[in-house]
Amino acid sequence: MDSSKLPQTPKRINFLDYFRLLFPLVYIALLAPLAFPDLPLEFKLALFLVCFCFGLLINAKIVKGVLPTILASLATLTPFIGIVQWAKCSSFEIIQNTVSQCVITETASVLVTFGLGTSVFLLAVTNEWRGSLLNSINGLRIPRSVRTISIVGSVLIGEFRKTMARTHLAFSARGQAYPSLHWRNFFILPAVLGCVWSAVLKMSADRLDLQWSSQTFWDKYIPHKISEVKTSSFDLIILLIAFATIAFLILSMTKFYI
Amino acid sequence: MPPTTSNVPTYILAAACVALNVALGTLVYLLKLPIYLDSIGIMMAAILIPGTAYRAFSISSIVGIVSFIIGGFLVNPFLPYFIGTAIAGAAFGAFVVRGRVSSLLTGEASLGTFISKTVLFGIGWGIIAAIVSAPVAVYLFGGVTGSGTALIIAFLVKTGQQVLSSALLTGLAVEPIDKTLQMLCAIIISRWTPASFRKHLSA
Repeated sequence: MDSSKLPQTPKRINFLDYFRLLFPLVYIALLAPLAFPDLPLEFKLALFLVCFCFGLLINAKIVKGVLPTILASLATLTPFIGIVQWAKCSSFEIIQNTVSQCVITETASVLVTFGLGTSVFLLAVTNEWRGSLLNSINGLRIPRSVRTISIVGSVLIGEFRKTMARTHLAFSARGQAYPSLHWRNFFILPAVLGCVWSAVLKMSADRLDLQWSSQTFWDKYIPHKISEVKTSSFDLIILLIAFATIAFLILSMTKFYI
Repeated sequence: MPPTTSNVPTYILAAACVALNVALGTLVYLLKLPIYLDSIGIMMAAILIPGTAYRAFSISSIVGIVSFIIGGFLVNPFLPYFIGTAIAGAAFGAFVVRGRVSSLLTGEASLGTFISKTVLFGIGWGIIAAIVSAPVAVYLFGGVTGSGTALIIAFLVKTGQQVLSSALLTGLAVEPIDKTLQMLCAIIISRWTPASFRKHLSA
């Protein structure tokens, strides 16, 4: 018997599918400790580690891809934080070893705050990733206009980068731009950008005359409604961590104010 | 805003502004320039999006939010925390700059008018950006955002200023210069918008 002729079993909607709609709020709940500077550093550090490990567990490839950018930023951020905190701590005219302790404590606090924000951001991205950029953005419950801008914008980034490299090469060949640090590069910047902008929009206008003018194309590419609610096995755990965070915050508030 | 083919050109323009914001890092790297140009697309969207100022504000805000989230991934992880600055820039562009730079876009303005308007709007945008970004920089990053301005903040703190006022003063000194340059770029690039694309936009 042909299996395609068998009656389809209706899809059972898990209770978690309803909670899926609340996931933007779940990520905000995980970010909530950032708004409370009095919270213990250990709690923020633990939450950072939990979110980071979950992100790694859900999709290690994405985390590995973004990690070099984050580490490069941390490499420049840490000394600058140290300088500002040193200026802050030493202006209180306290003894030398207390100044160093003060600098270490304050710098660690800022780094943990940054780490927590970044790990929640990574967790959200890894959990919402659906195999491709198109599916991931279309899977988010955001207005179609925002999805259109995000998807086309992501596609155009590559076009801009390629055109920028080509235009820079052309300007360098004519001796108008320099491949090294040179004051003339400042003056040539608007002209280079103008050429790039013009080239990419010209290409977009050509596409608007052909493929992009079709309503059917857009309906297929970026659907009006997201019919399928997708839940992952990690959703329940993330939901529980968010509940635990909120519970801890409420308990902390009670401790602070009663 | 129902997504029909009639407003597709508007979305393409907004998407191009997002891509410009994110991809600019590549050009800044190729030209070895010591600047961050992360908001040109927001101002261009506010100036070029057809329709009312409210529509321009909403779309340029989306441009700011999307570019700062994607930019947080590809360029600078601090960017998503400064979405408020992007929205403030979109509001300034849509309600203050939009409609007042038409002569600059068509090339009818004299050199004096061009310079004075660009500098005036650039300074205004810079002041707003400094006021909005200072509290975020202080409460989340201890006054530091990964740029060399941290040294100025440290100097001001050492002279007895609070970290918040130091970050604000530094922002007020640096942001107007950066935003004037971005305003200049936004106006010049907007003039390069091809006639074929403008035709689609006004259809």
